Amino acid sequence: MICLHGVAKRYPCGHEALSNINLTLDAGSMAFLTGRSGAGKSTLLKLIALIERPTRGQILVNGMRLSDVGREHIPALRRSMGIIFQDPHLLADRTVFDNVALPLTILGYRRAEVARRVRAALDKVGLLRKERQYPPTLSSGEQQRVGIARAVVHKPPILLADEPTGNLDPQLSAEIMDLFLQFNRVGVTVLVVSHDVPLISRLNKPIIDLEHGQLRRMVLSDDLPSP
Amino acid sequence: MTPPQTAKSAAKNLSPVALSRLQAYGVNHVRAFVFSLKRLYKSPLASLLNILVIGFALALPGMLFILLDNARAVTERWDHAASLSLFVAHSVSDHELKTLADTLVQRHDIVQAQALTRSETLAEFRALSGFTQALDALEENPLPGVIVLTPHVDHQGPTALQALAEELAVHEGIARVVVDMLWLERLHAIMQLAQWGVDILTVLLIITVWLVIGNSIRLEIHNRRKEITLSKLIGASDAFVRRPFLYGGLWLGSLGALMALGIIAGVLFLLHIPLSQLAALYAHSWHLQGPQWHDIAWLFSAGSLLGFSGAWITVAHYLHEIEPA
Ligand SMILES: Nc1ncnc2c1ncn2[C@@H]1O[C@H](COP(=O)(O)OP(=O)(O)OP(=O)(O)O)[C@@H](O)[C@H]1O
Ligand SMILES: [Mg+2]
Repeated sequence: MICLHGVAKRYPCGHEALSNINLTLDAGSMAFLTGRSGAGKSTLLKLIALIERPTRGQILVNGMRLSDVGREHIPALRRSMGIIFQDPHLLADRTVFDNVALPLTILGYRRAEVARRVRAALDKVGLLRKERQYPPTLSSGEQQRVGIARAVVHKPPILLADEPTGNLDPQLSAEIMDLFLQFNRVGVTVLVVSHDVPLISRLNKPIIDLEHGQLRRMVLSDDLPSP
Repeated sequence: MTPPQTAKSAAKNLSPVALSRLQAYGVNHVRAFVFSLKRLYKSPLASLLNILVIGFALALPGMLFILLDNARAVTERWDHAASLSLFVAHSVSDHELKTLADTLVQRHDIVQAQALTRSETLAEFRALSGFTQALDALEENPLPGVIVLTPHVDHQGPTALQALAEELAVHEGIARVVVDMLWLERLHAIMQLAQWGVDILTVLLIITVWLVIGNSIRLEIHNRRKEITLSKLIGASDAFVRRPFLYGGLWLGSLGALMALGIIAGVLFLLHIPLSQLAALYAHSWHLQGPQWHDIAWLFSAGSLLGFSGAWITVAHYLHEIEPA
């Protein structure tokens, strides 16, 4: 469960990226987050992953108050999440395989298990044949998919995705969204930032609309006019 | 990948199946150990230079310690050779000389008294000095009879020796007592000074090793900033991020120690021949004592410890600065 109570985030430079956000995402549910560029979508995800701390309000993740989570417990919180970053953050000097294996390495998995899981994750995003390549030799869309594979490889109970389909063609976008739906179906809590309103409105999940750091509305896709 | 069954089982999956925490911990350590060695191997020139610097910095005090040990072993032998020379009066006959020596050797603080008659001292002087013709020109033997005393081990210290000398100086028939102590005292003082010098140098070079290791780890942290940030973003603990750097320091330190051993062995090999020749001049059957097993163990643990601690200090300082934003 992810829960935000009156959350505000003001960056040190004085810009208020989020103001008074109230939001609840039940365990095992799935929602989309949209809004214009600069609306505060990435900031919201960063607050949930404790990459940033809110200036006001309270955030609960799995019943844990994030304000109570000290520095030394942040890694454990992050390991319970799969995070797909807007910029995929791949390591240029490691192969695709090694990049995807990173979360498993951190968890201390054995080599054989690592190989099995990494290949399965790469297969899901259609990159099994590129495992030996280095990220700079991949297209933007492929790099993004490596980032997705890395986020799901350790089967986290929470999945946060920041514009995961930004560089993908419509068909791949649909496949990736389908992958997220599959995860959600088996109980993973999923929050996806996306601008692709036509695509996400077909998926019958709540859509949260941010505007200038405020929650403008939260709609079920049924309420949206059919495209 | 088979999707997880429930959120709960997904959470369970976070801890590796069939792997205890301890095993995972072990796996992580082994990986960091191997990984950090691979990093050294990946930039061989930089690594070699670092190892050389550390090697020289460790070799210098190591070598001086070994040479000092050798010098101490030699001078200890000289300590036991402490002796008194009694120059007897010209009036004392050769027979009286022998009797005097016999009475002196009865004393509890004297183990040996070797009597040299006037003619014997002349012969010895002639042989050692080479002033044959000059001596032949003299009508009379100018040299006195001598008794060389070897004091008991318990009475060989500078003060005991001095006391004995003063007592014998007033003894009937003895003209002069010569205690050749001053050079021994000076030698001891020089050795002490050398020891201090080596100690100070050791401290300075330890700091050097620390700085070299700290600097190379700092560079390594800088070069891998992106990787550190990412690891923290996906849930790596501080310990996990720290580990490869600590092992990196350990590798640098221990390889530096090995390099130092090589350097020491090389230098001792080169010094061996001239030092043996020098020893031969003093008619000593003396061999340069190379590093002992405990010296090697010492050097190796000092190198490893310095590497590890240097890395620890650097990592503790810089890793906090790198936080994902
Ligand atoms: N580290 C930061 N320091 C200062 N201001 C920031 C920082 N990060 C974001 N902001 C500001 O906060 C606002 C929201 O940023 P955020 O990245 O959350 O937007 P976004 O909705 O993700 O936009 P986009 O769709 O372009 O990714 C922006 O105006 C941005 O300039
Ligand atoms: Mg963003």
